[in-house]
Amino acid sequence: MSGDLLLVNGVIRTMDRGRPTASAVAIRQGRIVAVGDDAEARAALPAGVETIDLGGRTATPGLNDAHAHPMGVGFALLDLDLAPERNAAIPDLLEHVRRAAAERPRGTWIVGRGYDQALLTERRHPTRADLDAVAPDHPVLLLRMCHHIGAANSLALARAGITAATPDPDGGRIDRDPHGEPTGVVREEALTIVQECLPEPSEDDLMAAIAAGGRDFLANGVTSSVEAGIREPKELRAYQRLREADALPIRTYLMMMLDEMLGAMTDLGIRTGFGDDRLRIGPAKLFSDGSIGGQTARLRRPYVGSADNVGLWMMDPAELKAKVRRAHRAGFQVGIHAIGDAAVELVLDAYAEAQTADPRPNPRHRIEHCSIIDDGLLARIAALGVVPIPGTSFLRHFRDVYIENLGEERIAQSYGMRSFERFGIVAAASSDAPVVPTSAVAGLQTMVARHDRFGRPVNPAEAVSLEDALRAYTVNGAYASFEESIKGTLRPGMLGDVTVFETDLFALDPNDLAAVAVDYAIIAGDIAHARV
Amino acid sequence: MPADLLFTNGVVLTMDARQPAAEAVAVVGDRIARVGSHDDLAAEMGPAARVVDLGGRALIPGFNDNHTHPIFFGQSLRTIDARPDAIATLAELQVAFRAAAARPANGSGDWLLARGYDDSRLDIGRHPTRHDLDAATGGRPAMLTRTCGHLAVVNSAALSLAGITAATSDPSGGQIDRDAHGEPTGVLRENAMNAIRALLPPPTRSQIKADLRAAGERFLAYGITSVGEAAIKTSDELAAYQELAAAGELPMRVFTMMLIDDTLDALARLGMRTGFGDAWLRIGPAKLFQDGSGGGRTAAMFADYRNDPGNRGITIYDQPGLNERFARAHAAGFQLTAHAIGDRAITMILDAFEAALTAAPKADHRFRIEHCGLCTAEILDRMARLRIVAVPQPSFIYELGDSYLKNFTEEQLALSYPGRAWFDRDIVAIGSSDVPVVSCDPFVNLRSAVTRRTRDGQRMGPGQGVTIDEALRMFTCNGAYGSFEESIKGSITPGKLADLAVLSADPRGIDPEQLHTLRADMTVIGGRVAYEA
Repeated sequence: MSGDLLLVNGVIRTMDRGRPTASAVAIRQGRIVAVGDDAEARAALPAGVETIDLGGRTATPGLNDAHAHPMGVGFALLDLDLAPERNAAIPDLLEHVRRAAAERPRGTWIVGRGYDQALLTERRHPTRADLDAVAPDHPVLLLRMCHHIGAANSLALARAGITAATPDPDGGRIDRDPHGEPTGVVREEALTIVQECLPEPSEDDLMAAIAAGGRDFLANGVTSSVEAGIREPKELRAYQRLREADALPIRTYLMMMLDEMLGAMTDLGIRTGFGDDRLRIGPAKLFSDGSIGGQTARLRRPYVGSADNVGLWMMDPAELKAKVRRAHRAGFQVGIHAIGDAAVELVLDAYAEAQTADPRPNPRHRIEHCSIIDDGLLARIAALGVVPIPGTSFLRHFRDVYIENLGEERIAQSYGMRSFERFGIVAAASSDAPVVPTSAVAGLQTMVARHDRFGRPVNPAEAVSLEDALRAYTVNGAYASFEESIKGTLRPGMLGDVTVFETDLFALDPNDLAAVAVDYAIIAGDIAHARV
Repeated sequence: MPADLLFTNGVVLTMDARQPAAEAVAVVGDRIARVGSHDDLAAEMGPAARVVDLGGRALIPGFNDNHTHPIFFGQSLRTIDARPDAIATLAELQVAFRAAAARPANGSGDWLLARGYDDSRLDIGRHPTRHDLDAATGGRPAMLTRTCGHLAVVNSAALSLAGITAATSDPSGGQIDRDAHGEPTGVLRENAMNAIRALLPPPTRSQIKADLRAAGERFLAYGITSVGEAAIKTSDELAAYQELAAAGELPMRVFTMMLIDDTLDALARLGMRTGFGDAWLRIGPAKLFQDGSGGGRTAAMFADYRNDPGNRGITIYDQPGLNERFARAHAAGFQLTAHAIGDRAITMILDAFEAALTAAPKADHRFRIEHCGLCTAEILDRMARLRIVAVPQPSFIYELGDSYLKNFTEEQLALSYPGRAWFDRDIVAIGSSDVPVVSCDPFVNLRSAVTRRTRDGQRMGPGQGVTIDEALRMFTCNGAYGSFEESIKGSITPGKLADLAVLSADPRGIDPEQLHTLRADMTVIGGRVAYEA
């Protein structure tokens, strides 16, 4: 763990426009001291330093995921893996549940995630009866891959107090059979009610989840990530304890949920930026709307097949603006989840008004996901200097959901990296893992090839070059956290974070990018992950 | 492999037991890269961007003053300097106030503010009264703070604005001095000052930052690269530090002591605790004040003060109040510390620390006592057993020792700020100044730690002197230990931060009584030359 490392004989994409490629990088005590040819880099370090012969592999600045949930990824790794690629039919799902029930004490929860009923042989959700048959003594909850719908067994419904007599909650639905009995399928707010019955993780559980999640990011070549929401003090404590123990796997920029955390921070005088290059307070975070799959993203025009359903506001627009003004005045960067075009518009209005009321240089307020946009919204984003954080892997997984709910025309510029470029907007790539997998190469492929995982296109006009896709996953992420002076580029003085891929990415067919493995993830000159 | 900065031909006092001495040091970026002989380094480092020939002078890690009030220090640089060296008589004091009244307001609104007097060194040999100030200030409210910061004299206009009259009772943890008729004399002790402070226009964040920059310049000129900010109370203070740090303009490294009553609740709601931050600005311990000052006779003692029967000083909290606060801060994960000067205050703090550690044991807690002035054998035993860290101000011996000698018996002072005893018992003692209570001059501080001599030439606790090596450790590696940062600073070791000071001579080679003649010739912080004489 000396922080000294020499990488030679590679094709290094520095992201430094002044010196875009090099064959070697020298890292000393965690910082880059030389970028150039092999001899130059060697000369900058003592003899006998640890050396990686890249053998022509592509190396880039460490990848930066600008919106993800490392804690959530860690917890998800503990849940049953129900992904369609590995589970073709309901009996496959039930086998996972049966095995878990055999291994765990009665009464403890069994949670699975990632099924898609549209891709199961039976083309239906599992029912409570299906689940009761394999786990009568454990509460069971299986989450659909969208995270907005779930299937619960009888014990789980009982824990949640959901019976035939329970009305649908506001913003949710309990599926029922012809006799009015809940079938086990719960949607949106009804799902939340069941999830709230899950036991609270302890601080140690949180630390274990962050550590496990972080290792997953590293295996995917991601050395920096946002944690897209600290809601409770024990979450910040868990992060801090890992940092203190030098056990935080990746550099983390913490979004702080505004409603729960802003007051404490303003009472202290703490704001965006406090911390160090491993753990730093990031933006104050809000949600303006919901999701496309749940039909809760807020739109200008109704969802396909509806006369008047334009989705939801997570809070009253005037209230959102007031919160933004408060956070902006207190010196925070603000990051707001906004998926629908009406939501993006509201967020831009809020940022514009806050900036007019209290002018501040360069606040770099963000829009998380920023999914449904057009040139009008793009022009405003550019004019305000707002930083969008598109879910650059979403279309790989959700193309069908988007088209079903919005139609192809409305999603034409969704996560459109070419459109962002046209307007000179710095947009930072993100996965939003565990909503989709952590894989950064999947994001690169989607940005370059513009099709989903079945090869079906989504407006190929938005395709960008691999170089630009890599910029979105390096430089732009650093910019989104005000850290472009210390990372995102391979240049002397920058942090020694490097991602090494198993091959020369630029020699590949773009359709093969998503299958590429990461050989090394290097943080501060230490090898944090090695594939071999 | 080129260095950015290369020091050669010097006496390098590394404070690193594995390599205690060297001639040359190479800096790359913000870190120390190599430490060794001139020849070793010349061969490896090649041409350095800048070479400093030390010419036999000493190179040490930058000084760490672990207990300071940088914001007050900066403020004091723009208020009337009433310290004994500046003003010796009441008449001079009144002249200074009249002159200040004639100048335009400077960030204090209508108020006339002065700081630093020591009643024991004024010609009148007593505190000035409100009437003394009234004569020079007219209708403008005025406040003259004693050097210790624990007591102040205000004029009639100030008392009137604060609504303090003969009918006003002493607030909890404070005292309003009264004359024979019960009228306030103008002297307000401890919490009695709060009513006045509440009236002072709060400094703007911009003013706070300016004050910090001014303080920082002074620190760097003394070779001080790290300080402990001994009292964060308001959000403006921490925000000011953060804004400077974010702009890369924080002159020195800072850890912050967070006042429990003002900040612990918010810190617990956030989940942030000791250690969060970076090498420039870091959250430090949770702190409270338990008593006053030895010079002002408000430090809490078991016995009466000499020549002041019935006065055993002031405690701020009762034992349950201390226990409850520290239990809460400990549960929230904080390092704990308390201002405690008198033996009774120290004992109460040790009781509270012991209760917290018994209820929730913690290895390597590094709980501290700031000042830790009047120790006893029992106190030292407990500090050793509980592994409590002491943070004294050796310069108090020089600047305030003569008033201590008036206020305390020789027996009480035998173990005052007991450097020798701490070192002998492996109790970590960390150097500090408490500036602006006294000057932050580290060379006077080193001299005081070694010689125990007061301004008038007396010796306070004469057996308690430490060696110059020990004194240097108090102000370097021990300081880093005090904020859990010994892995990144405090010694000249490859990999650690390049925080360095060039001294005009080798402190080990001069008569300890002459240590005050040393100067910092150059100060480097994070590899950057921040001060050059």
